Amino acid sequence: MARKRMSAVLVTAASLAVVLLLWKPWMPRLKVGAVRINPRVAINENKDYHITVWDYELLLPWSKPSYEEALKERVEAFHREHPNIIIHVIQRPWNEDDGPLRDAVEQGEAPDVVNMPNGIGLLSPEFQVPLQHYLSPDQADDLLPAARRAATLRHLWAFPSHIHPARWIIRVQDPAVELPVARTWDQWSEALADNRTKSGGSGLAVNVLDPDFFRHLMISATGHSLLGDDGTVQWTEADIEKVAKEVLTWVEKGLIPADVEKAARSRLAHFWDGKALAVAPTNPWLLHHILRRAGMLDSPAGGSASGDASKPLKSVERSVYWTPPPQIGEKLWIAADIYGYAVFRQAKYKGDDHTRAAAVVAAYLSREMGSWVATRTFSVPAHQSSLERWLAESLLPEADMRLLLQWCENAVPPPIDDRLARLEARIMTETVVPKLVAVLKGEMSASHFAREIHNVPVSAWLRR
Amino acid sequence: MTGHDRLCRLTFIVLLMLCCRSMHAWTPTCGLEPGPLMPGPQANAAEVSELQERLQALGYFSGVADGIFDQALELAVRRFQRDQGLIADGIVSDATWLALAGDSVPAIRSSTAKPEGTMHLVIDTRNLKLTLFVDGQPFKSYPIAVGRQKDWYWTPVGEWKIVNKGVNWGSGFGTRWMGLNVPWGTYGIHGTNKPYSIGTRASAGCIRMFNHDVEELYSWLPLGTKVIIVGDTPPINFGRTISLGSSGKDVVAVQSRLQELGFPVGGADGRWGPNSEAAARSLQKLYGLPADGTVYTDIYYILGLK
Repeated sequence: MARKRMSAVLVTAASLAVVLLLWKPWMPRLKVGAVRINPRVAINENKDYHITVWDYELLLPWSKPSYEEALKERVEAFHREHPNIIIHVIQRPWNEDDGPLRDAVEQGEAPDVVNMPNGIGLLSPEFQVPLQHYLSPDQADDLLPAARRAATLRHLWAFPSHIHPARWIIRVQDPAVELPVARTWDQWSEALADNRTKSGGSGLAVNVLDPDFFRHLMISATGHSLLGDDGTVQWTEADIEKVAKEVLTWVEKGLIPADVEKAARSRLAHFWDGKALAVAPTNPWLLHHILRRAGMLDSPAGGSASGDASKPLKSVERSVYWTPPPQIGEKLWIAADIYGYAVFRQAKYKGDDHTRAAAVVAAYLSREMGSWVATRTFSVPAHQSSLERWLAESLLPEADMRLLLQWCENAVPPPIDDRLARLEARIMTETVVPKLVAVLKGEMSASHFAREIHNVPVSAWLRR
Repeated sequence: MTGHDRLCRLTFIVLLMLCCRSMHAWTPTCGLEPGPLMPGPQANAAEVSELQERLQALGYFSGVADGIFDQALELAVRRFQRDQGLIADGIVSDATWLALAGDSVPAIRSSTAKPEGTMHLVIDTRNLKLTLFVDGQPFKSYPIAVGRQKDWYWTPVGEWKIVNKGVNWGSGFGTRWMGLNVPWGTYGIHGTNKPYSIGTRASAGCIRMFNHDVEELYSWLPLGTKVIIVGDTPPINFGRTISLGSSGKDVVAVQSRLQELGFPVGGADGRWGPNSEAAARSLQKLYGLPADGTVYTDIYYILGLK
């Protein structure tokens, strides 16, 4: 009897062992749509993996080598290290919208790796592969916390490459004492009014028609983008009204021209004529234009993208600095766009080892191209291990870049859910901007504007 | 030539001349047949300057080449005509121009078999050279004369097309004329009765060639052939808003810069059309500016034109 019981126990234990060995519950399993993926599976060194990468051309007229050449160089370097992982880059035009990508994803024919054109987003839980298990602890620690946060919604949906924080440009009267620090709303107002008194112009050369202008201010005030990850409006009516009223005050004081449409088209003229103290908002291309025209990128002391070590510019040479939008909330929250590389599976699943190979490619490109792009677009690379090289190759003095790095700690990106990010962009363009213009023209009250924006029917917009 | 052809040609010339006459009010053009050059204030200044320079070179005139057909110049012309056995009336007609040309046409003429392939011309106004490209490769170069680079006499830099062709349009144009679709005037590639001017900046903006050279090109180039003119441009005042339908030298400059920066406009033809609008819109989106496809103040700054 005892022997029988013993053998029953042994058989059960053996069966359990077999089940456990087959099931491997200690191994993480990723459920991606209908497929369960084992992210720990090894790459077969004796097998060739063909990984398709969609990469969006980055038009940087000032950069030599071009983006395409830099990418090619890095892909070749990758091949030397991983001869059995063959990368096929499909270069998409820089101005292509994300329609073709979303179509490909929806049809289960997405490329293996995508350099997300509009910033990191979750396009499809059905086909987009969570990536946290493809990072070693060291690799995970290497990511800047802000970059990692921006790419995470329960899972890590992309390997971040670089962070582009919002900046305004300001001319300084006395570079020796005026550092490119963050300023409060009151400090901004004072500086703009002072410039208006001296120059007779309006203090701020602003493009109110750019949705980023109001978005930057609202994020500065609240620390949130318009829509949360659950699709709710995160800006309170009181916050919206407060910021709109502040902007209106600037118009009333003549610190922003009343004809906002005309002003949006003559910002640079006013800035270079000395009539405006600051330009808002900016993006990497406008930043490059302004910094170069100010002589900061042509100066030998300004460093170069080719790898010369940068030295601080002499203070007398400096006339232009970048600075975050006004600090309105208790903390310096700063709107940011965060870019990266996502991995997709296809409807016809190619296997866990193929997915792993794709993840290796995505991780590599995010690190290598992220650093390259960050250097040339005044952005911050997402990897701590890239910072030293980024600082050395930067086009501007190290102090400026370190400030940028500091500002990125509180970076606030758009929602990671692609549907919500697109919806937010539409609401900003189609509703917020025209209504803000109406407020500034005196055709709508700030409180009415705040009510309308806060109560925007998100679910109805989503159904459109 | 049939009666119908003759009528068509006559109508075309009359329309062209009417057109030129109306345009002449605001900008002189090269493609006008000046006719005999008569003494007096009405004489075409560009033609008079050329006459003065030629007579200077031949030792008949010692005054300043100021474009004014005054008494001193008239006397010089009469002296020259007398020496050449012409009627010494001081009026510079075809016979006088021919005599002025003397033996300035090169004796050796190199004629080439017609090339096969897609042809386009590149005219370099700095080096005074016209090059025929066939399938993108340089095929043959020719010496030319171009505009004077002062006042209104600049050769129009841009990307044009040959839009009309003609034979013996008047001695001023030599034996052949190929008109370009420059929107602000009448310009073309033509022969000349002043062959000594080839290799100089002497014209009122047109591209002059030796007659035998232009005859060769004329026989090869179809209507619609692309003509790219590169070189210096007159100072341009960039300020107005350029929108659909705008044309001019400023448009050419904006289109050229857009192309250089990687925004294709389909040719810097001086006309702001849908392709130019799309290119401007792309630039505007990239730089975070209002994207309406027009060229406003800030675009001039971005393009480095202001």
